[in-house]
Amino acid sequence: MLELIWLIPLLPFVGFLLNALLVGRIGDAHTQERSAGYVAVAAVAAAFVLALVAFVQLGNLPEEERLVNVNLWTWINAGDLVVPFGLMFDPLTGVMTLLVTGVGTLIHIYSIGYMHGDSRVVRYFAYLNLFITMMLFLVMANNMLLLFLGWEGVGLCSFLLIGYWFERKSASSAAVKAFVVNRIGDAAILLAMMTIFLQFGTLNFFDMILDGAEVIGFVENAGAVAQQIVSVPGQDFRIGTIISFLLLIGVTGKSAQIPLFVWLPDAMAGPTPVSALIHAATMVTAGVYLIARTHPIFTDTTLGLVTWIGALTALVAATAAVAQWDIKRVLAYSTVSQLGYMVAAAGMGIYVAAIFHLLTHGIFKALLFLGSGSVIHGTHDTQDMRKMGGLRTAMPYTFVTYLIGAAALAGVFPLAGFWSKDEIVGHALTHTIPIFIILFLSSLLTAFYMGRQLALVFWGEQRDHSYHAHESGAVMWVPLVILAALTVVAGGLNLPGSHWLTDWLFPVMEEEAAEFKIVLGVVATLAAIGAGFGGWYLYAVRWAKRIKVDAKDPLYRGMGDIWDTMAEAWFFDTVYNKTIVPGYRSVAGFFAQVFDPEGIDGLVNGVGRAFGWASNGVRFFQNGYVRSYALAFFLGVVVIVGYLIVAL
Amino acid sequence: MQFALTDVPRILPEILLLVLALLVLGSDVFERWANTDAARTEQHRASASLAALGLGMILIIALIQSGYVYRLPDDAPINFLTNIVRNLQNGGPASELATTPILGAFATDDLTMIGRLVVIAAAFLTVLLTYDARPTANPGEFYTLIIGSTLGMCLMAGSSELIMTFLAIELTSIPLYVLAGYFRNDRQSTEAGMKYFLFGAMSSGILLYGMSLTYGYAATAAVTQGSTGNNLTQFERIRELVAQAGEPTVLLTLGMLFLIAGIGYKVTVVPFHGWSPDVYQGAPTPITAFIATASKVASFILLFRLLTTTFPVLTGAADVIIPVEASTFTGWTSLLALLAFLTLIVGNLAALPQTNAKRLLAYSSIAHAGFLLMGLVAWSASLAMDREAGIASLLYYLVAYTVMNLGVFGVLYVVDQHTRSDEISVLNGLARRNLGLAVLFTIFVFSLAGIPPLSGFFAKFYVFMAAWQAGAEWLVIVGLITTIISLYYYLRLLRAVFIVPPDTDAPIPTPRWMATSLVLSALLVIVLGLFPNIILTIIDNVQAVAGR
Repeated sequence: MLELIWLIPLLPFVGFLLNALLVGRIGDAHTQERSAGYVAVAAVAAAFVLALVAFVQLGNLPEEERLVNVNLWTWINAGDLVVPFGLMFDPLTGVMTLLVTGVGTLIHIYSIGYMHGDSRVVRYFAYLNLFITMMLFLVMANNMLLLFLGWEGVGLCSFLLIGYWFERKSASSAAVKAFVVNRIGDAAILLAMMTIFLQFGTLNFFDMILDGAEVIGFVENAGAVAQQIVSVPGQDFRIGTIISFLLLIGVTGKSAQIPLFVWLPDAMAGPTPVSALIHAATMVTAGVYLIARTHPIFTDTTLGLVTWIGALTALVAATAAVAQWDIKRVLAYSTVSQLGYMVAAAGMGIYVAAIFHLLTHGIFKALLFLGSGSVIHGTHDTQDMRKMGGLRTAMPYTFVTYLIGAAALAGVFPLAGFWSKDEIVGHALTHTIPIFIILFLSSLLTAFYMGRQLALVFWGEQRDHSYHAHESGAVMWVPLVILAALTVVAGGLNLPGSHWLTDWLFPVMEEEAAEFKIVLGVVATLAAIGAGFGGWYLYAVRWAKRIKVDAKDPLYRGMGDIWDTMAEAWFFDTVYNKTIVPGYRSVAGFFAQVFDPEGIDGLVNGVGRAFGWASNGVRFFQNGYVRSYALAFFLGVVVIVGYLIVAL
Repeated sequence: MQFALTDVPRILPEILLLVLALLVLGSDVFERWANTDAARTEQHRASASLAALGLGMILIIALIQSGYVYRLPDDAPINFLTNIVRNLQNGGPASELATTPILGAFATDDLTMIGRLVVIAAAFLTVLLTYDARPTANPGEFYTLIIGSTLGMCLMAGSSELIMTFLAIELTSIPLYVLAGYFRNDRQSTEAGMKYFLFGAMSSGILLYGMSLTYGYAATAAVTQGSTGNNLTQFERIRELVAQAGEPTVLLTLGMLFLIAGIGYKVTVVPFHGWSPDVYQGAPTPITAFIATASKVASFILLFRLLTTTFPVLTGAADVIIPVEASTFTGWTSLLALLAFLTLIVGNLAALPQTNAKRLLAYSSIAHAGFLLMGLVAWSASLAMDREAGIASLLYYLVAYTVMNLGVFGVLYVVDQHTRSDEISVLNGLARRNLGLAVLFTIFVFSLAGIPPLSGFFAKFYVFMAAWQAGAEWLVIVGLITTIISLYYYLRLLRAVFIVPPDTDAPIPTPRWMATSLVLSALLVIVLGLFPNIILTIIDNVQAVAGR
């Protein structure tokens, strides 16, 4: 079966092709909608089953053989650059594949309900399947180039799906913003790839047999080469530092870290299931996956930077999440914040913890997003939390599952978030104290904003009566229940004592199991419950009366500008709009209005004029008189004869 | 060497052309006195249909004879039909007879056959174009002249002896002079005829001078070697004599130069091209098409046969070497490379500012002669394979060039019939006035410009490839640059057709037989471009003969 892993990305791709080419042509809109949903769900579900089988089979192999390379064909063969179109399956890829296809399946099912009645459902499901295909390429690629294909592919799908309702200006601008910001990171990844090829002569991750010959992989041979020193004028760098720094820039783009995280909150303009799948559970974790996959190449210099970027992102985004009114933006900033935890974990060298948090977060954040989608659906496209309130009676399933998700995110014992976050925060304590403080503070804020959100959405009285809130259909709440159940048990992946994930990932990341600190665990849970309760108490009881549609937050009174700074995510967007964007615009304006029309066109037109002038020259003899023609004729003969006479 | 009865089928196409010419001329006698419009149209159509039918039949007979489409197997049953085919093909290029020219003067090999087919097909398409045209005076004579000229071209394609060459060229040219000036009441047409004639007379003189020099050399060589015979004008014989004499002399080189100049005028090579823009513009459009295509095809084949059979000793390199010291003349390929360079530059540059469509296409046709010369330059390659690629590319180019030029002039003729003008401005908004015609025009113009996948692109591609292999890289680069320049004036034509609004939206009708001719040409342009192997396999036969 493990030779057949190429079927895993192929199935969603077939689903994409069917939806893109066939389904839109059959029957009426209703039939199309139904078949598109079924095709898409079936494709992803089948991929999930295959991934599960592959996962089990991988587990049956002896530990040192748990790396399967399947090279389908030689993709590029140009000089020294030989790149196979090759997939791999190892413990890390295995868990990622399961997350992508598993959560993907649930979100596909949920989408059937959520997107019901939309005018372009077939296209939606086609994009969604294409996204799954690309994401699978990303996590299953056995070389950097195919990973980059997936990396760009998910970026494209993200763009398409953020701008899915492109007739809304906000959606289309958000799509463009996401794409442009990601391009910055992508350019860095390209540079990283070139450097890797230059230094290692290969883009493969691991040693393998290709066309009967042994070829090397750069991750496997990173150790010695990465520590070599190259001189860039003025400064000496380790090769590994250069490569990993470039990779880090790519990671900040895709995984929404400082300074490139600004696209993710805007990306919430897409349909909510898309936010759940792409902008919470899978695509944005690609950066964390990339670090984990190529971690041997990261030097201590870059890892320090990675840690700080992750930690600061966690804090900045957590403060921003506190000050949002839009139910999805809270979750978006929360996602950025949690990604910060993962990146910080990777920076501290605890890759297993990073992956562990990636997996649990993928589950409970998908749950929260789908829950928020259910709320939005049930309140007829309301997203402002000030217009909600008291929905716990109208939406019981959504409420209970959301509560579980929020508690998990806050890190309440014994839910998944507690175990995974605790591993990271606990390690920070032994690593660097400032990092620990930042992360601990962020987790308090996390609990606080989730308490605030729960209070605003589910407690109190409904503050805007222009809609009739109702629970969503079973097709939507069943996935919620499944995800909630997974949220409860997912911590079991790496419980202290069993450390299943650490053992499982051992061939990829040779890492000691984290030490569980019972005191910290107790303190963390109590703090989370306290902060969460605080958030809930302030907004559900204390200030319940002061929350009105279009009113300022009660905390604004005390904090003023600080609150504004938080709400605007510390003005990153504003700074970019004031500095980089005008500069870029003026450069673009120079090229569009001066350089192109004057320079390029001037050159081209000049060449044209030169030819016109030359053309008048050659027409000199063409005056209509046969005598001139005859003269030209004889002159020609004479000149050639003269040439001959000289020559002979 | 004597003329044998078995030689008759070998020149069957020529004999049939002669018979047809006489028939068409004679048929006119019965309708001499047409004096109403209807009667004149009737008279015109009678002659045109007779000529078209006849040319079509001769084309089919030549095709059967060539064996390119169907080759009778040796063990075919003997019956009336197979006997006809067998007798025809025994006179064809594949038979043993074809290895030696008739009387040493007229070769009937594959090269001749391909020349004949192209020329007769061009004549056929030209005649089809004129079927629906306004009646000409004395249509019988008009078509007789076309057929007569076609006959001359067939002879040019096969001629392998100097006197035969001269006669063939004159037989081709004299009817064309008359045809160019056929509209006696039109000043431009008369002027064109006169200019063509004057210039032709002059270059005939040069050509004859070159022949006499060459003959003089051969005769001297024969006397010194003690050989006799009246075959000193045959290409093959001259080659033998030159080979025996060893070093070529100034006399022979001069003779060759004058021969190139004399034929160079027919193929409109700079600086022997002066007549062509005026004549192309002034002559009746179908005659322009005929001169631009058939006459050029025949001349190029003649030039190729003459140079490669008679002067292989003087072949040389593909570079133009500035003679800094004595004895660096590198042969006729070097000269042709220089001429090709001049032709490409002058033809393409002079086409840029033209406002008259026919004149523009005349320059385009000069430019194409430059590309065609590159196929000949490839003969300088050291490998036989590369030389064969050269001739193959030349012949492919000739075929492609013929169909696309017939088409583009045909479209102009259709518009001309309606608007009585051939300025570029009458093409304005053609797409709105007749979309079908505009599409056909676009196909032809794109092919002329060398846009894939049309045959004009592959023609250029093969020629460039052959020239590159032969070491004329610099010429290929010049060719590429001038191709880009040429896009400008070709696109000007299309700009008029698609972008510039017309003065009137009145549709331009396309008469049936004109349309047939154009569609046939367009189909050939597309099919030959998509499946160039159809014709390249036929051209492969030539290599076996000419590759010696």
